[in-house]
Amino acid sequence: MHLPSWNVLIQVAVIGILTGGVYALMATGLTLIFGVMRVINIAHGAFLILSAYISYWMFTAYGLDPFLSVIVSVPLLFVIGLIFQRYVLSRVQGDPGLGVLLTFAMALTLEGLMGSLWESTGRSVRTAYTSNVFVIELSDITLRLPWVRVGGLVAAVIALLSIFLILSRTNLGRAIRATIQNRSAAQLMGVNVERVQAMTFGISLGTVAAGGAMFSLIWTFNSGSHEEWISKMLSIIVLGGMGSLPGAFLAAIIMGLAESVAAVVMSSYLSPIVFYLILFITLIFRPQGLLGVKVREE
Amino acid sequence: MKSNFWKLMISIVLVSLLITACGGQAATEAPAPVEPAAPAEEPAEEPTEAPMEEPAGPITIGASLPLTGRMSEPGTAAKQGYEVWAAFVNANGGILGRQVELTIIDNASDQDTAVADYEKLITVDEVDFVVGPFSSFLVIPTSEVAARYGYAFVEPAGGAPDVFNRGLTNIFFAQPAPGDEQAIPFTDFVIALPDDTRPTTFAVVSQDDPFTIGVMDGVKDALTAAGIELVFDEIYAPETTDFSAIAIQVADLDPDLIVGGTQLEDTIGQIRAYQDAGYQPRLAFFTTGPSLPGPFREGVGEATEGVFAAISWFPEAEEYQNADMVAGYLEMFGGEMGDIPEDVANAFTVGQVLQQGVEAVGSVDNAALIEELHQGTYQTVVGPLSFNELGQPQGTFMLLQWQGDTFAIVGPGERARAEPIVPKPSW
Amino acid sequence: MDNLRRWWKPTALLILLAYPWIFRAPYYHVLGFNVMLFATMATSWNIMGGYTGYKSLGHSAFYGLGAYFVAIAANQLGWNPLVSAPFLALIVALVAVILGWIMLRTSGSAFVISTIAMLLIFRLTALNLREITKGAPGLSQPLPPWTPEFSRMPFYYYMVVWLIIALFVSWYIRRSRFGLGLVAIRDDEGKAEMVGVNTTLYKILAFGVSAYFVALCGGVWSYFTSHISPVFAFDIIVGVDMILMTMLGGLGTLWGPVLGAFILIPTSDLILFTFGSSTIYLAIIGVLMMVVIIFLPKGILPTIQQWIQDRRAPRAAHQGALSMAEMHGLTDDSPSVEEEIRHD
Repeated sequence: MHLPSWNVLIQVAVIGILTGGVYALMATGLTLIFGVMRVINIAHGAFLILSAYISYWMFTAYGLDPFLSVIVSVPLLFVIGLIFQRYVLSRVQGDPGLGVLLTFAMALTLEGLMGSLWESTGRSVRTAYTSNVFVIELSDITLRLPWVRVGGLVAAVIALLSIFLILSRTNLGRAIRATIQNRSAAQLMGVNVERVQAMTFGISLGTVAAGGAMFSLIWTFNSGSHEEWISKMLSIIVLGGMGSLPGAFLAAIIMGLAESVAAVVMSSYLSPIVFYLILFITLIFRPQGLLGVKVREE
Repeated sequence: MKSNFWKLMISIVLVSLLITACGGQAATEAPAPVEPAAPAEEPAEEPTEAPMEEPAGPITIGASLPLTGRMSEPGTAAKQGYEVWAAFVNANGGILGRQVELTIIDNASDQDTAVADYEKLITVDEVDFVVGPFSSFLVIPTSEVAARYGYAFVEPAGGAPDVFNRGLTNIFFAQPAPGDEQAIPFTDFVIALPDDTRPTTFAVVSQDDPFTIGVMDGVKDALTAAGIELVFDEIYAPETTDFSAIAIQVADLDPDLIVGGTQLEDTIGQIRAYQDAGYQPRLAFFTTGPSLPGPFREGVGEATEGVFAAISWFPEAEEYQNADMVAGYLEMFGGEMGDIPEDVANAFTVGQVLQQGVEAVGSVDNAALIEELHQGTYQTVVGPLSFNELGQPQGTFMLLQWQGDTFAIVGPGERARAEPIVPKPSW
Repeated sequence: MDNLRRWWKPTALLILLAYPWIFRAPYYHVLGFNVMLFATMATSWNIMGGYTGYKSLGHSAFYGLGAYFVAIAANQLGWNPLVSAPFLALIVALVAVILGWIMLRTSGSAFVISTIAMLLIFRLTALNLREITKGAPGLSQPLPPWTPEFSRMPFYYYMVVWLIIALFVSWYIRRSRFGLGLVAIRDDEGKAEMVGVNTTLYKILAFGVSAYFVALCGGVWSYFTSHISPVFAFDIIVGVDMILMTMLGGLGTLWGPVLGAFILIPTSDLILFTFGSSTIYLAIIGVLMMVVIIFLPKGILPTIQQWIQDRRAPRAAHQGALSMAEMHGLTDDSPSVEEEIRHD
């Protein structure tokens, strides 16, 4: 353990916050699924990597920039999500334990398929602006903000605002919120819960698609990467409160920051432990997280 | 009925324990595991003069390589090297007049799979010889399997200290020098620099891999002994892709020299992260990465300029059978001479050592081969090789530096073909 | 039919004992060892996941701990793994009890995730304690002292013994008060508490017992493979395999996990062999798992049992037959809400 210089701390903190923004984008869908279906979608990480691969593929095959290819990938993943929920996941509706195992199996399947298609070489999208950096000088501290990370944060904010608008302004959104609050009551009120679930899963994967596009620009990935990322996202939504979207956003920023700082205070080798410890401790001592409502676990 | 059943169970349990104990006892009378209990299938009376009284079949050689997984690039290159060698040998009369037949299995860069592969090759396929996988990480566990069955283990890419310090005598590392000596030409070069360009500080950033750590330890010892200060020393998990935190710290400390213990992908990851963080070292060295011309250039573009690495071979080298190997490779796999990965040569070297060793022994006999390999000197594409009692080779590596679109050999001594550029241009 | 019931166990055992002599190539010994190993681990996991209903996805944490304890003891203290494993596994079981005391405050999905977190914490710690564990490159052990001809046989027999012991423990638990309490917890923890079952104690004990055999297996495995590393010792797939086998064979049954292991291990080996690469293998395992979860949620044994009952007893007597079967511990059927309503 050592205390790094101010320069380093601030730079690292800023990067951490930017990263947290992208984390928020990725975690939002996960918490939404839990809120509506009470299922922990372990395949979320694998879908994220899938989106990243799609962005990568569209970039290398067609030269399409990930910021643009989301136009294709978001609807694509929306549909995949709809189908998956409607025809596969819904079959284990009552049993959350089985739901977890099923989504885990889906993650394995995805990993296997992606690995066969794209092999295990690490991939990432390198555009002309990948190495470009915003340089900001504040008094005697220089901040270097990579364009792709800033872009990621901006995209995250846009996506989250869109979700917020959907949830608050549309009928579908109302139905979703009702289902989150009280599923049976919503059903009694005439909400087509199956349809809501399918749409929710679709929307969730849609955000993942956007997240994946950003992801492909910032990090290197291969088919096995999903395990690392689902662990991070689980930690985030648990900390934020499972089912709470503002919670997920807040927790994502906190985690991004914590991870970054831990990497310089401890070592980057050990820093992921921050996620796991926070996950563990939150689950045991404050299962509702920061902003979640105390849910009776079934 | 049920309690009778369990009484029966318990008595059988006791009997089985007895069997296990007795079996273990009887077997323990045989001496230590490293004794080369040669596999019983091959008759040891091959005539040493002109071949074939009996129509002997092919000589079977087995290997397990990381063709997928994190070491897939060099693993595939090693496979190509073995294949080029086998084709070449077979076109020139084979070994002891017998054709060579290769069996290569993919271990997906996974230790357990690699171990199981060699078990299968030796005990089920009953190959005559085995040759090693790529990387110390895989060599360490698989060499134990070979030792268990008394097989020689000539391997193309396992030079870490932990390969040699386990008391096994069947390992032979087919590169010019063991891992921790690989960077000697570089450290010598750095120490000999004139005062105005000589670094005063350096940083070591390495993945947690036996090979890279071994090289780094060698570098650290040499440079600190020469008075160059180590200001940052960090190890990261092998699959790490995000180096931003490390890069920010390194950039802040701004050491003159950065030394990376890396494979290809993390070399690229580190360099990109340093670029992002605005760190411009005056000298840079990476263990692997710069030696893989195509992928390295593709990964970092023009940031290759001025980067150093150690290498055991280059395409134009005038070493034994090198021209044949290069020609054979281009014919089988196409491409440009300058893109041939070093690992191809390392695998080819394994074949050369194996062939010359077996021919010196005159028969397919692993025990005799092991003894022979400890004594002889063998002509290979990486130069003459001989091994000490631990199986470590006794030569030196070359130092390369990227200049322009490819790299040039800049040392040591007379082997240099170009002048090194110091300091490194900005990346 | 009665003869079958009487003689199948001793016959099976005889076959098991004779197996390495019938199939002499070491490859088969390795296969047999793996089957015994996983059958033992699945049986062990079943005590927590099947009987008690708490499905731990991170159980391979104990496997890894067992592996490292045994390997380190072998290297530093010269302890023969086959002797030390049963004792070191006790220490791991103790760790499990302590962790269980913390983690079992949660239930359902929260518990599952916490076990994953536990696994990841252990893995990361093993990676970072490089002086003790040698980090990512991994830790080697001295090779077993017996000659190559026997090479894997002792391991195989050792595991046959431990499988029998594990099955015995599992069987004993089932017919004991403790087991009854566990099943009560699984069916309705609140009610069980009200009826007077000390749910906390029972859960923690079950967790500890289920960790014991898994840790022992980890220790044996480390000796078997001579070289372990954090990524493989703390591999989530090992835990997933335990679950998959148990679910395939029949969650909560005595023999289900064993059946699952006997089916899954040779099959996955075949898959690996046919397709060569590990990625297709993952995809197939994933799909298999989804199929089992969706179509065979109870597993093979209970489904067969159900089928036999449905043929023997007409629908009206269905409920009676069901209770009989439950008494014999052959199903883990709790009537679903729909069934409850239908029978009113």
